[in-house]
This record gives sequence, C-alpha cells and structure tokens, in this order.
Amino acid sequence: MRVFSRREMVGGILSAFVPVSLLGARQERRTHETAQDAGSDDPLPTLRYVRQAGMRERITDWDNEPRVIAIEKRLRCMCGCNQSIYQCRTTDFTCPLWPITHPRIVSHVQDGRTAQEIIDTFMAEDGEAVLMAPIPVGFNLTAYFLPGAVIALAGSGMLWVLGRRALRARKVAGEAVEDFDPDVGLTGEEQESIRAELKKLDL
Amino acid sequence: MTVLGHISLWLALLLAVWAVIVGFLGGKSGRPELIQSARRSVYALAVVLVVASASLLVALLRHDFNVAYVASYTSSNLPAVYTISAFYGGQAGSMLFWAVVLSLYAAIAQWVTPKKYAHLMPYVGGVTSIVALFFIVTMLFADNPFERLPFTPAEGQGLNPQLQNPGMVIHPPMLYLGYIGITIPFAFAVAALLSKQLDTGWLHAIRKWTLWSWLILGVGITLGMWWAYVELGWGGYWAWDPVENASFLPWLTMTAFLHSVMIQEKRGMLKRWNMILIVLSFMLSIFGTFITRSGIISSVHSFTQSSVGYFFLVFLILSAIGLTWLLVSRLPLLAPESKLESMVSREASFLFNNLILVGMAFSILWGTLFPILSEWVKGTKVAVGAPFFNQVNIPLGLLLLVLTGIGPVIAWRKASVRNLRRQFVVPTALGVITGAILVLIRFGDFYSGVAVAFGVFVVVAISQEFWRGAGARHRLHGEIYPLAFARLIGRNRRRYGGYMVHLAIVVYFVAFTGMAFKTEIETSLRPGESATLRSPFGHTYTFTHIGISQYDAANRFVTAASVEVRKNGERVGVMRSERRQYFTASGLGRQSSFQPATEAGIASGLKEDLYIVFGGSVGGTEEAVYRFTINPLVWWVWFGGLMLVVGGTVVMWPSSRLAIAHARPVAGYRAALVGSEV
Repeated sequence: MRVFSRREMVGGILSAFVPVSLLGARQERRTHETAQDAGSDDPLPTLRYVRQAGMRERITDWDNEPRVIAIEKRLRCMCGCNQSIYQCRTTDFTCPLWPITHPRIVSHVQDGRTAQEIIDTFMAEDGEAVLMAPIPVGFNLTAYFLPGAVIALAGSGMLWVLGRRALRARKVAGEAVEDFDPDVGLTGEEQESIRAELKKLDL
Repeated sequence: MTVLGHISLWLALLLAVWAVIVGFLGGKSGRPELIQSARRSVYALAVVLVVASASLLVALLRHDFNVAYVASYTSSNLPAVYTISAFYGGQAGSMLFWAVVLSLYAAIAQWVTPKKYAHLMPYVGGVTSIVALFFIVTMLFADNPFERLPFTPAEGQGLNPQLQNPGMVIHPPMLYLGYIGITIPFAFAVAALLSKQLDTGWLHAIRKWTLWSWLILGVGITLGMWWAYVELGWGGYWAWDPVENASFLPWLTMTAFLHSVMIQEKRGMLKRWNMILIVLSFMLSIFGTFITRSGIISSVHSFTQSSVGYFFLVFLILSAIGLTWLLVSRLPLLAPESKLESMVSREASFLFNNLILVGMAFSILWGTLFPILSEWVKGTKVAVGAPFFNQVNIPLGLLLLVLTGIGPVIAWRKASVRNLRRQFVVPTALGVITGAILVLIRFGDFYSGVAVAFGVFVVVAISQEFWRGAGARHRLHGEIYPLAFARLIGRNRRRYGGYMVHLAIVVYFVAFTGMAFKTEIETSLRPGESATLRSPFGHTYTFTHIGISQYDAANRFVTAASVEVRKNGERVGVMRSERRQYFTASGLGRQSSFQPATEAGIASGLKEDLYIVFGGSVGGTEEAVYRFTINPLVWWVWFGGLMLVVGGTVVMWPSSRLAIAHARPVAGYRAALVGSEV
C-alpha cells in the first residue's frame, strides 16, 4: 500500500474539487525529471491536477491473465456500451461498472473457479443479458440457426428451380435443333452455317 | 434567423404536400400543367429547405443559445469546424440535413434525367416529396431544430468530446449522402411500378444514382471505421454495434442490387427480385435511421432517446404495407424475358452472390433485432455481440470473397469447359498453393488463412483480365503496356472499374485478417520503466514511459503521457496518448462538460499499427497505466477504402462522345467475334 505525504493528500483533494481555471493551469508542466526514478521504488511526486489525469490502480499480472481476459470477453459490460467487459475496461476509462466487475472476476479466478462457474455467477445476477453471445438453447437457437437455415433453404430452392429451368431450356433448345426446318427460305450455305452454330452449343 | 428557419419548415411542409399531390396526379393523368407544377414544387422545396438549413447554420455560428438545439450541442469556445458539424451532430439537425440533402438530390434528379424518362419524373417527384414530407413532419411535430428556450442560457452544453474529431466533419455527411441517395433509385423504381413502364429504361436512368449511393455509403462506412478506430471507446474499427450494423445492411442489399441489375439489363431476368432489392434497401436505410434515433436498441452511437422513433415506426409500417401492395399488384408485369440456361454461368454466380449478400443482411438484421425479439418471446432481453456476428458472418463473407473472383470472369449464359479452364486453372492452382504453404508454416488462424488463399485466387483471376486486355491492345495497336493498360480501363470503365472495386474488397478482407493476430498488453510504468511487446511480424517493440504533462489547449485541459518507442532496439520516436477534459466557457469560469475523453496515440505502418492508450495515473503520480497494442494490417483497411473510391469513380466517370464513337465499331467487332465463337 502506497503512503501519501500530507502535501500530496491535500493537493490531490484540492485538485479533485477546485475548477482548473481557479488553479491557473496555463502552461505545459513537467513535474520532475524522469530518468532518476527509473526502476526505483521511491514515491513519485503527485501530479498537480489528479482528477483530470484519471486515477487507476497499478496493473498486475492478473490484469493480463489470459483466463481472466477470456472470461471478460464472454461477458457484457452492463454500462450500456454494448461491449465486453474486457473491451470496455481497456477503452472506456469513465465506465463505473468494470472497476467493480473486473476485480470480482480476477478474485474468482484466483479462487480457482472455472470459467463456466464464473459466468454462471454473473448470469445468476444479471440474467442472459450479461452474455456477449446467447446460450444456444430454446429460442436462442434461432439466433444461430435461422439465418443459416434461411440461406440454405433459399439456396437449395434456388438450385432446384434454376436447375429445372436450365434443364427445360436445354430441352426446348434441343427440340429446336431437331425440329429445325431447313426450308424457310435460307440458302443451303446459311442453313449449314446455322446447323453448325447450333451444334456448337453442345445441346 | 430562426424565425425564417421555422417559417421555411412550414412552407416546406406545404410545398411537399403539394408536390406529392401534383406529382401523383400528374403522373397518372399526364396533364402537362400538373407535371410542370410537380417539377417546380420539387425545386421550390429544395430552395426552402436550403433556407431553413442556412438559418440553423447562422444560429449555430452566432452561438444563439436561445435556440434549444444550439444550446444543447455547442458552446462558445467550440472550434468553428465542429460548430458547423453540430448541424448534423444532434437529432433535429440531422433530420434537417436528411431533408435538405434529399430535396437537393430530388431537384438534381429532376434537372439531369434525360427527357426520354419524362413519364417517370412526376412520380419520382411525388415519391421523393413523400419521404421529405415525413422528415419535415417529424421535425415540426416531434423535434424542431428551431425550438426556442424560455430563457437564454449564458453558455451552451458543448459537443460530445467523441464528436470533436475530424471524423465528425466528414463521416456523417458521407453516410447520410449514401443513405439518402438510395431514395432516388427507389423513387424511380416506384415510378416504374406506378406507371407500369417496367422495361429496362428506369434501370438506365438510375445507374449513376445507384452507384453513387452505394459508393458514398461504402466510403461513409469506411470513414466511420477509421473514426471508431482513432477515437477510443467505440471498440475498434468494427464492433458489430447496432448502429454500425444499420449502416451496413443497406450497403449489402445495394451491393446485391448492383449485381442483379446487370442480369436484368443483359438478359431481362430478375425483374421482381430487383424491385424487391431496391425497396428493401430503401426500407433498411430508413430502418437504420430509426434504430439510431428510437433508442429501442442500446448503442454507443445512438442519438438521445425521443419520440421521433414512433414517427419512424409508423412511416416504416405504412411504407411496408404500401410497397408490398404495389409490388404484388405489379407482379404479372415483372415476368422475366429469358431464363437461366446453365448453373455454370455468370447469371448463376450473381444469383449466389445475391443469396449470400441478402443472407448476410438477414443474419445481421436478425442479430441486431434479437434483443427485442427475445424480449417479446422470453421476456428477457438477450443481446448478441461481436462473437455471434463473427461466427455467423465470417464463413458467409469468405464464400462471398470467392464469388468476387468467379462472378466477373465466368461467361454469360453458359460457361464452356474451355472458358472455365482459361479463367480458373491458374487462379485455383495459386490459391491452393498459397493455402498449402499457409498450412505448412502453421499460419495461426484458420479463417485468416482461408481468406488469404481465397484472396490470392481472386487477385489472380482478376489480374488475368487486366493482363490479357492490355496484352491484346499491345499486340493490336502496338501500344506500350502502361498506355495499353490505361486505355483498356478508359475504354471500358464499367468493366475494369468493377474489377478494381473487387480488388478493393480483397484488400479489405486481407486487412481484416490482421485482427486475428492483434497483440496487446496492459501495464503500469514509472518514468524510465519499459514494457516490451512482440509483433506478429517478429519485431520487438520497447515502450519506455517518459512522463506525464498537463496543460491547457483550446477548449480542453490535457493530461498527456509520452513513451519513447524502440523497434528491435532502434529508436523509432516518441508517441503520446492524451486524456482530455473538455470545458465550456462562461463568464463565471470554466465548467467541465461531459466525461473525460481519451485520445489514443497511433503510429500507422504498412505492416502494423502501434496503438497506445493512456489509461490514467497510478495514485495521482507520474506512474501511468498504458495499454500497448499492435494491430497488424490496419493501414490496408483504409487503402481498401481508397481503392473502392478509385474503382467506383472509374465506373461512374462519364464516357466522352469520342469514346462512345470509338466504342461503336469495337462493339460491332465484339459482336462479330461472339458470333463466330458461339
């Protein structure tokens, strides 16, 4: 646990409540030289305008833990952003919900609970709406299978109808070749030419 | 000025009603005075709506905070460019934008359409005026942009920080131009149905309009992807958000229409299907607008929930009933002139392309509406997110990708074995070889590997056409290859421009595969500390936190975190990500407006993008939380968009008289060739 000095505490509280204009922030300001602190555990000076910088907890290995991320990608953040908890916590730093749900998921994973158990816990609280993809049971099956079924049905219907039409068209054209009457006022050369062209159609 | 705007809206209402009446009566009776009155009413409607729009713009630029709309979406310190873009940033303003653009489109359509389609024009004027009337009524009775407040606030509420981005200036107008553009081909289709003139004439009249709306909608969607990518919080360039889906739906059906309309033009087939597609596209464009405004589905892109949703719903239902009746009553007149001769032909390939495009549209619509449907059926709102949409649409998209290579090069009517061998042996072989290599090198993601192999197939299939065409010109005319290539495209813009668009689609698909290889890490760094990340291309990036600075800028207070970036140990430069707190100015001091917004730092490259996000300060110190991401191939998404624009422009570019004169003997020569081959 990091210990703040009295000055840091007062500065932090002040900056959280006093409008920036009253504090007179006008120029770009660097709090200290960076190199000297590299890798050290010495406490760093506080930023002058803490609220504007946004407060975060230090990132731990658990925040990048693949099991945690995998679960968070399957759960929806209920803040209304329509995104997964993972997507929300890595892009929306104003969301009030993931700072609560993310530590809970980490804690569950640390306790050795399986992904499904954790997801079931959240489902018990918020219902199916908490899932990024619906469970494939009951009416939800229509979400997965209806589009595919409609495409498959339409596709096979199309193949059947068009196949029949194509067959009929071939048949009609074939009959036309057989029924071709050469005595229609064409010269012998023209008739031969037409016969040859029709044969090339592979009918 | 707002009084003028308000009066203009009422005048527009009267003019639109008049245009609808005289348009339909004129079309039915053929009386010249009614037809002329309809045409003039359409022009007058455009003028009046331009006046209304100018009034709103003046109110915005003058910071007239007594106007509720101006007070809600702007502040006196908002940069001018965003003050202007606030015109379509809010609900009422965007509806005025819809109405004015539609009225201008309608006026242009009346002005430029050749006289041979004069019999359709009164109906076209009537249909466009009905749609404009709907928006005018919604504005006047549900959300008026000129509504005044009972008092004048000292300051406006400002524009949402996420909208204060260059994307806001260009993306919404493009999207609207595309959305609204669909109304014109739709109006011609309805005019053809009403006038019972259902030959291919109306298709020729709308060719440019169809291409324009499709192209601009595509560009608008791509710009939206860019905006969502650079602006944090919208889930990357595509998150299957309902509003994103809503813009994608009419694009899919318009793409299907663009292809199937070629079959009608060439063979007189699919007349009913084309009518259904254009009607569906229009309905989906209105549906998209309804989703954005009604609040029935939660989305980060939505406007504030309001009563305008009911207006849209009523309009959608009435339109659906009216259009279904019209289509059913005209079905006998839409009989095909010829029939499909073979399943191995361009017609069949286009039909399958239509099936997949409409199937994708259906699956996306179903997924988007599923929360409402599940609430009706089960009583609980079951939402579906990106995993569902990816699962359903990626396989369909890949099928579509293959057809992108087959459709344009397979023969019309019936492809002979010779044609198939000539067009597909080399592309298939190279596609298979690519696939085999990807399997051998254990390419990480299955779908990405398939997309790359299919992409190779399509690129080779289409490139052959360019190669053969340029080669033929080189041999026949002795032109050098670059000139032969340029003239090849110039002489047959529709065909080769279409090929370019297909290549653009391949570029999009290959770029999308990059997302499967995205790598990221979240970490907190003290100044001088570093984090490393290995990219899929094998580079090792080192990010060293420099520090945090805080300063004022324009209408915001900025907290910026900077990192030095090294690639394989070599210094690349410094990147920074900002957290911005926007303020509105007032006499009493600054007030923070909206939640703080985070601006990502992006270094874009041909292979990969470095994407850094400053997540906040640890304990209020210079120790910063960062998310470092390597996004492969994103640059190619934007390049695909550029190729789409170039290809689309080539297709739409008007032919010169000289080219037409040259084309005639060529067409005759071609006809002779075809005759000798068949």
